[in-house]
Amino acid sequence: MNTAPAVFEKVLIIDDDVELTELVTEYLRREGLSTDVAHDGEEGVRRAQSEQYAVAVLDVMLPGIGGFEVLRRIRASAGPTAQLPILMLTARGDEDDRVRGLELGADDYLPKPFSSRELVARLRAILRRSQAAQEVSTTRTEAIHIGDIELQPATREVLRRQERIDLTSAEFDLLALLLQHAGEIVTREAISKLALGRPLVPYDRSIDVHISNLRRKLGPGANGGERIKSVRGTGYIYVQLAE
Amino acid sequence: MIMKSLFSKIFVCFLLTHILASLLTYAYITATRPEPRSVQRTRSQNNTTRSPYRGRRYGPPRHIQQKFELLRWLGIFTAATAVSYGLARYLTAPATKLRQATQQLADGDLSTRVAPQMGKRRDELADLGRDFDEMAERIESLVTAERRLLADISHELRSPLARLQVALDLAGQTADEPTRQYLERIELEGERLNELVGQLLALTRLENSAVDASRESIEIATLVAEVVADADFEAHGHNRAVQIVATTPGFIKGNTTLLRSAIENVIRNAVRYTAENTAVEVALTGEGEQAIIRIRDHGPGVPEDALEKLFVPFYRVELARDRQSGGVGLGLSIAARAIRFHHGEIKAINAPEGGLLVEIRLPLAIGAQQEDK
Repeated sequence: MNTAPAVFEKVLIIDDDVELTELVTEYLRREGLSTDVAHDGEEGVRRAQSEQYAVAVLDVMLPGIGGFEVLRRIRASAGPTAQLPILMLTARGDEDDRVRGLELGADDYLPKPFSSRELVARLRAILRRSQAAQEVSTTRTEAIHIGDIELQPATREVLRRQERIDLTSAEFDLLALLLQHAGEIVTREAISKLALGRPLVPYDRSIDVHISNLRRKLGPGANGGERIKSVRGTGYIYVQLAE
Repeated sequence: MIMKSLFSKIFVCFLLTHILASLLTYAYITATRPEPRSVQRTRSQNNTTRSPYRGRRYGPPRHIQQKFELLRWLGIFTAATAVSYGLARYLTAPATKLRQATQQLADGDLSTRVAPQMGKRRDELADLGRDFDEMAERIESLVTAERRLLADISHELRSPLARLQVALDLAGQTADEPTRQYLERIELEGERLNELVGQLLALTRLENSAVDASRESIEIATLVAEVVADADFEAHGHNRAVQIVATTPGFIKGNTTLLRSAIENVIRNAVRYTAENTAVEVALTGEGEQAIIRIRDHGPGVPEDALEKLFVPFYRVELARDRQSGGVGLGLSIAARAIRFHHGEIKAINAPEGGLLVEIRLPLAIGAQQEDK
């Protein structure tokens, strides 16, 4: 049907709309992606924790425990399933939901109703990223040291003064990109393409939310200043502090 | 000025009544006193001549008596003032409370009730208060029901739209060229429905959150620059551009999401109407304690009599043109509500050189600069 490589990656869809999940499953199957479906939050969390999925698609509006709670529980679980990449489906026009989802550690969001092509593109971007992350961990292992921050590509760990900081995979990739170019401006286009794995979309605030999460988690710099400075309308810069 | 409030009117009425009553009583007493006094005097004179109290019988000397009289009048006046004040307060206090409650209700706090403040009072004003509460109750339930209905409808429309979209994508994979064109048409119409639903939701959310939305310090120049960058990015796809022609630093207390959506809606509206190969100009200036954002397009402008109606939901200047440009007529009313939430003003005028100019005025926050590091 198309030229997409037939990578069999299991996708977990957590959405209560049975008919919609049937259609999406069919579309993803044609795209070479196999899926599992959970129709409520509890089941979603259970499945996400029990089995190894490549990525999860999570609807914000769920009966019982809502999408945010599912996200929180998955992120709070022990073991590697806590790092499961998650694509949130949010109501269109509800910016607060998006921000909240990203703040709680979702990797990306897609406003619902969505185009299936866009869904597949986002899923592939996330999958590419986690594959690239695995490859990096086997090939390039040298750590990046800047100031009191240490980034370990091999273990995907970030340490501040030897203390581990929990980052989502999107936040990790973004920080790695900024640290590699510390002291230089990294444009929003570059961040979107290299860290999030997709072209920049207008009115998309995901980068800003990821950055503000990073700022919060990293805390203030050595002299109390901001580590990541925003360059109005252009991009961001990791400030290399004088040591 | 002083007679403008019900309280001062009642107070002055009571006070005048008191003084008048005192004066009348005094006049009555002075008119009738000599009779019994002279009787008493003759009696005492008859019984005890040259009494040691003789001098006292006639009270203190004349000048002291005058002073005493003055003191007495002062006392009466003070007492009258105090009693009048108390009475007037007692009578008008519920009216003041009712007025405050009415204002609160008008400001959108539909949960306002006056009964707890009325205490055990039982009179016409207390009845009025109870009637007010009943009315507020009814308004609250009606408005809440309406908002919920609108939000529910919008949400419920979303699910079939989401399924429609995926089904279309599936059909599109196997369709031949003529069919594909129709499918694309269906997709476009679905997209329009979608946008309408999104804006309706934004509108209801704006009304619901108007009371409890958080207020933070917003750097207005950055916000405008971000929105312009996004709008420019989008406009380039349609051979149009968005430019910042002036900017100035400043802070505004408010909700970033709401303010962003307001500016975004106005700019996107301008992009929609500006002629091909022209740029929408955005100017941010400061004037006294206000930040002014002027957004100007190079489009056909709007008939003078329609300028004010631009901010009314679903108002359309020209049906045919609007449909062609894909607008649903909600963007500007969303913007207007968000701006009003920030105690700002929004108005539209036709620029002298042609095109529409939308002016947003927002009060600047003082002393919020320290957050910018």
